[in-house]
Amino acid sequence: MSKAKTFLSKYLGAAILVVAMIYAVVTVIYNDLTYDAPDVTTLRICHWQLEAGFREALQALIDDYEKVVRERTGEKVRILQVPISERAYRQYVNTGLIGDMAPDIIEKGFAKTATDPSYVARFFLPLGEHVVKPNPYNEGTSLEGVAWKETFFDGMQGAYDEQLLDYYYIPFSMFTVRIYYNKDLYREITKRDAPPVSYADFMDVCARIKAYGEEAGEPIVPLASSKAQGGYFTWKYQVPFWRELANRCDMDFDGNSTYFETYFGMRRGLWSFKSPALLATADCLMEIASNFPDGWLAAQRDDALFAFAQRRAVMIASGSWDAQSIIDQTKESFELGVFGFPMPTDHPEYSKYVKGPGSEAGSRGGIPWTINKKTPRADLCIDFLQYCTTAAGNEKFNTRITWLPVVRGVPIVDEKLKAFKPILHGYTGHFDYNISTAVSLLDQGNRWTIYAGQMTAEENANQLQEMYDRTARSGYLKKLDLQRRNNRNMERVVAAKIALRECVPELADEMDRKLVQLSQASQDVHHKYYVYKHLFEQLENAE
Amino acid sequence: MQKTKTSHEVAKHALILFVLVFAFLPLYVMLVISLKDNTQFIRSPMLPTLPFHWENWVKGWELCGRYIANSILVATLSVIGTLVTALLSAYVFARYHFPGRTILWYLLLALLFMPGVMNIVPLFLIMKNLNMLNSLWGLSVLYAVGGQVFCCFVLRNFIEEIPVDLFEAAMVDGASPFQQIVNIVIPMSGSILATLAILRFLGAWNNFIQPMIFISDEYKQLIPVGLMRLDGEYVKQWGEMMAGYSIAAIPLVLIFLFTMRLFVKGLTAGAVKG
Repeated sequence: MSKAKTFLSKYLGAAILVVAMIYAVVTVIYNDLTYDAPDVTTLRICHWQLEAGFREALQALIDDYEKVVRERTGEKVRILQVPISERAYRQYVNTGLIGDMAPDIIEKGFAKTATDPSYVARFFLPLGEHVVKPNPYNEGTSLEGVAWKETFFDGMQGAYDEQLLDYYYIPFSMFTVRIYYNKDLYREITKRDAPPVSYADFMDVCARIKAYGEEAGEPIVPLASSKAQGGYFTWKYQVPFWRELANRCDMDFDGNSTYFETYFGMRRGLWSFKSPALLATADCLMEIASNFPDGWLAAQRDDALFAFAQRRAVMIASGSWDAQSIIDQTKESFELGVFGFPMPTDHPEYSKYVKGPGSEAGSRGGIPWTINKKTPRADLCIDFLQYCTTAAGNEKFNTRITWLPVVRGVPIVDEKLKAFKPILHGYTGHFDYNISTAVSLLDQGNRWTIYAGQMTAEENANQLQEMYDRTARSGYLKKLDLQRRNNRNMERVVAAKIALRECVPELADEMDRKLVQLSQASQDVHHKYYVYKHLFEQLENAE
Repeated sequence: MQKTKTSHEVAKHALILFVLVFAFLPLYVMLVISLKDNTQFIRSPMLPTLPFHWENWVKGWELCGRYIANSILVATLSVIGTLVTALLSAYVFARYHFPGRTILWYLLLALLFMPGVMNIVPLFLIMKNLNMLNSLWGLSVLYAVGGQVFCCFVLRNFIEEIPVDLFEAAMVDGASPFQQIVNIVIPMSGSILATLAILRFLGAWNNFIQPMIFISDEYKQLIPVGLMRLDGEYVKQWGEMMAGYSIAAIPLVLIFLFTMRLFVKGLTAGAVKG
């Protein structure tokens, strides 16, 4: 007995280590043989979508595609998902692209290398020549013969980079934001089923929930929130509140007011930070934020979801991207409902500015997949994306994860998703006053202070006005200079394309097409630059 | 007198229990949550609830098993690499006098004061040029190199403490320097080598930034990055995540269980002079 004990105490540790090492070596060799086998083509696809169901939905498409390719060509293809959390995605993509070890297909976002046009041009494959051709997987369907980009609901407008003049990504889904609510708790507190339809009603419901929580001594708040939720409310309310200001300052009648246009608007006295519409927006958002729980500014997006699932809040604003996660989390606890953001069209003060909701007709496709320029199998990457974006593929993917499809003709059959259908009526018009970095930073910083009730709308307006007066002129000139440099870059690109056309005759057709595109775009950019320069000089001379 | 002694004992035990409760609370919470689904976790995060969800451990193993294998391989190879190279260089510094020895030693020591993060960019470029990015072998070499200075520093002092007479006797018997290391240094430095091995293993096991930057393939990734990815889920599956954490902790617990004696001995070696 004692001999065995001695043996155990002496050699068991070493034995475990040896076994563990053997296991590790076998696993590593097995993985290498599986994924790096010489007869297998491995593609890697990275994304930050860690929502429930996403990986499974993508994997289902991958599995189908691997089979299809094998049957069609006999080639063994393996596509590996590389899911990276949002927190680390930027570093992962940046180091991967710089180190030539980035995946073949990359979800575009977060990292500068994947968003800044100069880096995008360097690291990613332009897809223009592919998206104008039909998707071969659509043969025999109603989309046969239709250019690939035209098979998307938005004609891939969101994927077109206006600076690079090409298409750089392929979307899989689209998203809208709504308010989810706990129907059981809502019914218990308000004694009714119907969600609030007007702003007054919404505020009344919030007040009743607060009162209920206080009376019952339970920590129940109306709206579960984090900064992400604060952002959703800002996004949904600013456009309808500011649309009249946007129209007022809009000089080129495109429905939006850029920082150049708002600058002239300010100089011509069309608006100021004390304009009633701006003050009213801040007041309205403060009112809404007063229904958030204590400490919401420090909470993360998943903390807010957790509070909602825990029945500590009756409602939560979130996107359709969270639908499946929220359904999964709450299906055993309570009945879930969804409604749109109630607009203050019935409010005595706010209704002067808000006439309806912001329109979602301009929604663009999301989950943007780009192709790494250095991939040795760009053809296969494109083929995979084409396979995924047939009507059948897109339906399969989005049905599985309960997201909105982006391919034309794919029906939204899931009842739960119908509440997320884009609102096609309503108002549009962006009003951008971020003429300088200082204004932009102050605005972003003050936003949370206002929502937290630590600053009034007037105080914010005073600060922003002072900053705008101090920095707008230099900011305008900097932005103008940026525009000039864009012109110069574009001219360089034109020169390069002309040279390429002359030197490589087989590229002549493609270069001609690019040159026509470039000339149209450069005319637009040149035109804007000279107009804004001229207007600025005129204004300066007049003063 | 007896009463005072008893009350001292009670106080001592109470203090130890108090410390132990705090030390084991995270472990307890991790284990309890690893057996819950999200609904149970939401309703009662701290207390055990029925039924136990053992399938979380299966899922946890599915999520972490591959990372653990990679981590074991990299950590073990790096420990072997570090100890072999550090032992050889420490032996040279301890036993031989050669021109520039002091300067070389201080230059080596200066590396101890360099924060690791500072080296990331040059390391990345070197690894890229050596075609060692995204390779477990490359990462093992990197870890082995990273641990050399500290190990060399500790081992040199230890070897210097070994009586010179032993080496001289061995030399008289015709032992080569390598035989001296094998027959004198290693047997007499067992505890300190074990301590350094454990410290290096821990360092390699817990290193986050380097696998994050140098490894891009999911199937080659190491456990800290794998766990961070679990934690990055928008709606976390707490049970599976905690099962994964528990599984990831098992190798370290085992190592401590079987090497605790050597570890404590190594830590206290040289604490008492003479």
